[in-house]
Amino acid sequence: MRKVPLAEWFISQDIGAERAAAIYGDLEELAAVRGRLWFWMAYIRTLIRLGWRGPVAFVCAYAFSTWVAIGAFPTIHSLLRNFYRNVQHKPHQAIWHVFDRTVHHAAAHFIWQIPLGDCLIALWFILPFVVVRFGLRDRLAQLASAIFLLTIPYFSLDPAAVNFASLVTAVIMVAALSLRAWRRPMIVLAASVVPIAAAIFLSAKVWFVFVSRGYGFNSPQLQWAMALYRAVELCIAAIVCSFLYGRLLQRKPTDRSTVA
Amino acid sequence: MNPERSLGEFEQIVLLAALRLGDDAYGVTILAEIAAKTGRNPSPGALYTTLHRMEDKGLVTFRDGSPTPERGGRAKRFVVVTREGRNALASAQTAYQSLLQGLDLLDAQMFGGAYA
Repeated sequence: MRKVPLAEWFISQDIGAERAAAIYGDLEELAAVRGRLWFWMAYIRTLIRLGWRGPVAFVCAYAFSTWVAIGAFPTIHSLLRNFYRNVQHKPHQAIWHVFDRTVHHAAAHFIWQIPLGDCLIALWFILPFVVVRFGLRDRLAQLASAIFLLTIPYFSLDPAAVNFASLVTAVIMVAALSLRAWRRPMIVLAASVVPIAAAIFLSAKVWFVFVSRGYGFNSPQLQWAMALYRAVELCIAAIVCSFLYGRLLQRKPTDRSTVA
Repeated sequence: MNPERSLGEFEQIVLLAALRLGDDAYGVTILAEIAAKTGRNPSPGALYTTLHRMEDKGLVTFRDGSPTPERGGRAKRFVVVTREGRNALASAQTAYQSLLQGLDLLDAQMFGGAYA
């Protein structure tokens, strides 16, 4: 079995082993005429050309999710809260009341709002990541966008809105899993969300460990630890998302015949 | 024309080069053919991103060659232009031809005598 050089392995992380071997082979063939310096210059340019989307997507998603959590979330929450109260307290909005009662009744036994909330917060990272990484025409990006937009009412944190978001998420998941074209994007999306949701769920424990050791809420050590914790959780989610996308959603070459 | 199948200029150049080369179209020969016929020297990275994008669109497929020593034991991936690729190319070229009809690009009057 051929030993794969590290430089070739780097390319293969983004485009797969077969494509990477062919590209590296082409560069080796050209380097016989143009020299090793040209080879490494061409290699670096090719690596950037093929792989820029991953790092850029990660930085954009990290920045967006941080901006939403720190800056935009309180605004979104208060806007939704006010909107909901205004609508709810107008007697002529009978349709809303019927809908409200129906949703409450249907979702009365849902006990998964907290994990669901973690998953929806995880979408703040996953959505911009997949949009930049794979483009808006990609089914994974479209699915993430649909769930993100339809579950925005969750962030009013009003019980009815939370239940509504729960129902919408459940309906979209069942529909996506039952449709062949959307099944794999749904699996990739769900698996990508899990590391972040789990990390958010466990973050209180991490926080508690530091606080119990005497670090104040605003101490630099705690702030750095939480920033590192967040970077690691998002890195894991990005790696899981890219890996599963490559395995389940990337188009495979149609013609595998071999010529002499 | 289906916008999904609309082709950029470089995509058309790559498809034309691959068609000209026939069974011998792979990265190295396509780069050489483009350089020879257009005077451009595209980077390998530009060629591969274009080929991968066209593969995802179904305009080209690949078939593997045999591993060779000068490539460090790696196989060539030969480019095969699909029927969809040929149709998209024909459609793009027809559009160019329609736009060109009635124009004389070297007509001095059109450029205010600049090329007279």
